[in-house]
Amino acid sequence: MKIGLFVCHCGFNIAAVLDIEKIMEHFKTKDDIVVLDDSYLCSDSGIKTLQETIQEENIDRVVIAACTFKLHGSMFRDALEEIGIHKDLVVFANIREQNSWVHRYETKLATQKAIEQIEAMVEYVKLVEPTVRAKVPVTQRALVIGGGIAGIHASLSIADAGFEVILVERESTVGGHMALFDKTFPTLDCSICILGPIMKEVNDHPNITLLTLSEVVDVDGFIGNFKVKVKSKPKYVDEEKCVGCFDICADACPVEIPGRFFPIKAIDVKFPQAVPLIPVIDQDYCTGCGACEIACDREAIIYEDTEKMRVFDIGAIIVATGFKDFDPTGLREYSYDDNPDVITALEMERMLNPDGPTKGKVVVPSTGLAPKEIAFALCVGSRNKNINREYCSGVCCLYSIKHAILIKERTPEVNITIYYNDIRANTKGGEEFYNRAREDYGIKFVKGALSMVQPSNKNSPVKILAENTLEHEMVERECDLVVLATGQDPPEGTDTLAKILNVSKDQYGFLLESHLKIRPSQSTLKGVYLAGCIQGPKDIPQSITQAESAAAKIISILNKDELEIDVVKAQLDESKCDLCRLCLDVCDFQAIKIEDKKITLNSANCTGCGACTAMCPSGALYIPGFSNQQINAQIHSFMSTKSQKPMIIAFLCNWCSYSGADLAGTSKIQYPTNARVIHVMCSAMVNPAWVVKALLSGADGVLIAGCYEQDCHYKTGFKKTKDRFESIIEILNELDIDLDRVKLESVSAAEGKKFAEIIDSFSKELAKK
Amino acid sequence: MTLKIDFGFRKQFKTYKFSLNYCYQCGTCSGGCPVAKLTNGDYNPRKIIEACILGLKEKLTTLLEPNVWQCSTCQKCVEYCPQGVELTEIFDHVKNLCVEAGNYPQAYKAQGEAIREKGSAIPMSNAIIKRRERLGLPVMKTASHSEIQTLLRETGFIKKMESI
Amino acid sequence: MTDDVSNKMAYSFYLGCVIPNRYPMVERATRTVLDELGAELRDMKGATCCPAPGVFRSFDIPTWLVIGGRNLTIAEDNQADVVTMCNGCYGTLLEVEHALKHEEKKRNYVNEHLQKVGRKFKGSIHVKHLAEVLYYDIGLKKIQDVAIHDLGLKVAVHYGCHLLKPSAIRPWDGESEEPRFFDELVEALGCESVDYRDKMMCCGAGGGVRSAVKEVSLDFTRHKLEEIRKVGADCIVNMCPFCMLQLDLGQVEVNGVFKDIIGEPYNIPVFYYTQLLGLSMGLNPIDLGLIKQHDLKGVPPFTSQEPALRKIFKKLGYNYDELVEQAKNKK
Repeated sequence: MKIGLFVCHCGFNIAAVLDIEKIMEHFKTKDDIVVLDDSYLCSDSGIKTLQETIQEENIDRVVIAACTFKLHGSMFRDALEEIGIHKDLVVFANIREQNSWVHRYETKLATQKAIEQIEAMVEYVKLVEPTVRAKVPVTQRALVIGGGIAGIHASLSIADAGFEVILVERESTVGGHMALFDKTFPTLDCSICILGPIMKEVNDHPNITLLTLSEVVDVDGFIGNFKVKVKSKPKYVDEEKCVGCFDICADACPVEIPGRFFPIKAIDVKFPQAVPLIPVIDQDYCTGCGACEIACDREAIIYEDTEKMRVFDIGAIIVATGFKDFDPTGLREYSYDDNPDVITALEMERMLNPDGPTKGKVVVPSTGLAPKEIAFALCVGSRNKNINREYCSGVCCLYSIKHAILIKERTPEVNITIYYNDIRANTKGGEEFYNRAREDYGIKFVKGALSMVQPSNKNSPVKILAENTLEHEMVERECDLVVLATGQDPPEGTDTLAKILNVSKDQYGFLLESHLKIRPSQSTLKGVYLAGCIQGPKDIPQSITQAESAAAKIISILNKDELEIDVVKAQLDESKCDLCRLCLDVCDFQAIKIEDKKITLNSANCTGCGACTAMCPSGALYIPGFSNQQINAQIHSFMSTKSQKPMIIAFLCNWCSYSGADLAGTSKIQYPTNARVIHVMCSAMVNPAWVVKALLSGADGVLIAGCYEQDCHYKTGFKKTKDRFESIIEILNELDIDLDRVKLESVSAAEGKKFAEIIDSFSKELAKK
Repeated sequence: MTLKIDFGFRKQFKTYKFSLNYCYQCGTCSGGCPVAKLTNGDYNPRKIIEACILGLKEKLTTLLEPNVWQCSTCQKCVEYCPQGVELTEIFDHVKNLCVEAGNYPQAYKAQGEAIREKGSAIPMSNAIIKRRERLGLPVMKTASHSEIQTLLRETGFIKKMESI
Repeated sequence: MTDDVSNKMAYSFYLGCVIPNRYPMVERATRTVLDELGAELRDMKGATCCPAPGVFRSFDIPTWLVIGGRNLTIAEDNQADVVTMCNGCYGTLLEVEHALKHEEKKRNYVNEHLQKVGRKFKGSIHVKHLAEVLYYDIGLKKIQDVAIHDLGLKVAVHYGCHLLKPSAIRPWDGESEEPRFFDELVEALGCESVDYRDKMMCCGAGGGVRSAVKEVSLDFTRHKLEEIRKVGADCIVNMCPFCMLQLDLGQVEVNGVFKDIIGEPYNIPVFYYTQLLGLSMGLNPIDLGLIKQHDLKGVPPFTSQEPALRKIFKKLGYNYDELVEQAKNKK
């Protein structure tokens, strides 16, 4: 066995903090190890050197000390597979995200930590037994969830490439928010003129199955082989018979659904350009009076319509569920809920729309008259730490300028003032648009947030307070209309959808991309992609760009007949099994059965969480790569030096906590150098014996970190961890070990800061002992 | 007039309340401040924060521009600041430095003396003593003089009061 | 923790400076009412000024923490949570408590000093405002039950800033712009809580404004009084002696300073909540300290409460002038 150790400088990212020379010196002297460093291992020349060295030196196992394996891991493995190194035999020491980036000022300790990280991987790789990698067929059909501008573009791109697409839309029509707008910035094209034709194309495309009023309720399987269950709500209208003359039934309907700016009937289309152009009955409001049934000469009304459930085989998924307009009700300073003349931008969009409730006329809601003085408040529900929305909405500057221009074009005599913090016109043509608003339209811009909106006591219904911070002038002004430029929130139901899909969310509840720069449209789960605002606030061009990039990624998957996948599934060493049956209860996936006095595993059902392996007292059950022997080798390696006190062994789950620790790195959040990470697939696979072993062999503390219970990748994994943690406590009690030396935490993939804080505070607590 | 940047002062503030760093000068505080409104912007909480960020110690503590003592501590700014800047606490710190520069409302010194002597900020008058008696209320006792003296001496408060 | 060691309805009664030395009748009314409601009040022996945020917090934050911490240790000796009648004291004591409980550095600093006088802050008590005790501990329901007489007044409620803010460490569910609890307490007395503009505005006394720029401070008060007069309130009800001083004494001052712009002088009675609660509970106005004896000069209230009291007494069947006579004889 000959091990190749390759240490990457990553330019200054690693080399400016870690003493690479010292690391090289340390390993140079060891038998059977060939060491090499390179300034950028991931570069073309780096890979080439890597390949050549391996071939020249007859290396058969590889440790790469570089960035997190989540970033370039598969790239390195693919490159080495080309020269005959099995993927399992290439392992990674994370000396960037989990070392140099988080210990910037601790060269000495960080270098020592890197040596220990590498040493543990060297010991580990010696014990790796290559598994047979599975190839699975790919179902050549995509699922797109959400039929807004992003979902539409993604669907069309995939369908045009010749693949089947199931497009699932929650509303009765596709089009999303964009269909509600009149014009788009900065070009002022008519929104529905751009969107309308492609909405229709989606409906007519032979490769696209459009399911409206439908939601994804369950997803099972993995990349190439998802099974997706879609629930379609009853429409109570026969789509075959209905010809879309929606005003006949809607006119007959006596029930109006309340809503300041979206008044529709209990049977109606959402807007006249709806696709499909089929009115639906809203069961919450329909009184069953029968008026529409009488009115409809096509006999298309079916009161006894029922919910439908369909299951599809899907190869890859795009989530394009968009955003929800921020609800300003909670922000009392704007009096939105008790003042009809304070409206949101989306309500302004409807007023400006020729098909909207005022037929395109801007009016003061309380009087119905034309406004004379309008104020726009920007950054409502964004750039606000108090309500956990630190992010810039990215659109409210430009859409407010758009509104102001459109209003001015229709009623030039109205006074418009935009109260802003910073004008961020950061899109092609944005700055020019801003300048035009000032030069050609006389729209006033005041730098200063709109502090307060108060009901006024004079004739004008609203008074606003602000400071013009450039002029150092206190502003107290009466307006007849205040527009709140609201930001974007994750859409309702995202929590549930994230759970169904098994993907992570960011700290605001948007879905998390796999890597902000190099995998911006991939979610945290292979085969699931993100497009549009569901990944974070965006404007229309950005949404479309991402939709097309997600579509391209999916096309490349669907183009393959089969895919090679990582199989992390439980294995059984029958010789060790003494049939204690403990594993049977802990498995929630019917993957373990007992037949003929023998344990049998159902690999198809096994999710690879490893909860059973942690229960197995004899070590008969194991997950390849995470066997007792392989984990113990890492513990032993870390403890053989024990260079720091207190020393913490941290078991981090693959999906949330390990990514959270990586995020602390990318965010450069500094924390102490005294934690040594052991990567596990799920916190539930952490065997109490490992914890005890770590403590007895000298670790001062053990951290087990996993997903939040409700977000667990394996559904019930963290719950099992919690239960098991109690037995760990019992064991420690028996062994008379201080219980404060173990800690169980949830750290999501978005919680880099939390991870750093935990290491920091845990170290402090342990230092006191 | 030239304004001097006091880098030590700036650093002290940014570490005292890190939230200062989040201010992006939107003016939510000043726009809604009742004192700013009544003084037509003479008093302006945003400008105090701005001066702290910039390190303009002299402007704040000697020139009193704006005069931090005009803050009514109503905390409205703290409630509405979108960035969670702890304005009132930062102002307390500014006031501490104003005191060192000898700029503070004179009435406070007398109050400070009263507390040092009697433990109460407001002196007891004969009329009130009589009133309390008729209302059947217990006689007000002053707090342990030596205890208060010890604490005020140890924290350096007495010295501070004497030096100004 | 307090629940283990002390009776739930026992409180360390923190008087502060303004109430005992300016508004003793408020202390009288509060003691009487709380006694009737079954709350035990333990005096805080040796307590000092909270200390006042003006002179202490703004002079020297560390000293403010130490003196505030000392007061809290007295309540710990009493083994009972603090109840205070003053928004200012509430602000100081609660914020000191919060700092000492959550910031190790500050707690160590304070205890280092307290040790020199044989004291230590343990963190075993919690500071409450009287409004919190009435609304949550005793409970709105009980107040509604014991308030048997409808007083029938139109009341302008003044909450005061520090009762509500910073809302993150106040018990009112983060509400600071449109709270209801005080209005509900007033409504329990058969009064109407009238809405008025800028209801949540500061009284004008806070911080250094009154000392630094008195005219601005009184301009606040004028603004509030004007808005209150506009809606035709019979009286103002508040739960802070500092606000009370500003609205009561300040009213006299406003009538002087702004006489050219206000038209008629203001004459709006100002009450502390427990004074009205006592009347609604059927307690004797004299026992509540509500009848001012005319031989006492220079003591509050400065703005006569007589118009509102006459209105109430008419409803409750007391004779105002007889009560004044009775009070005279009660020397």
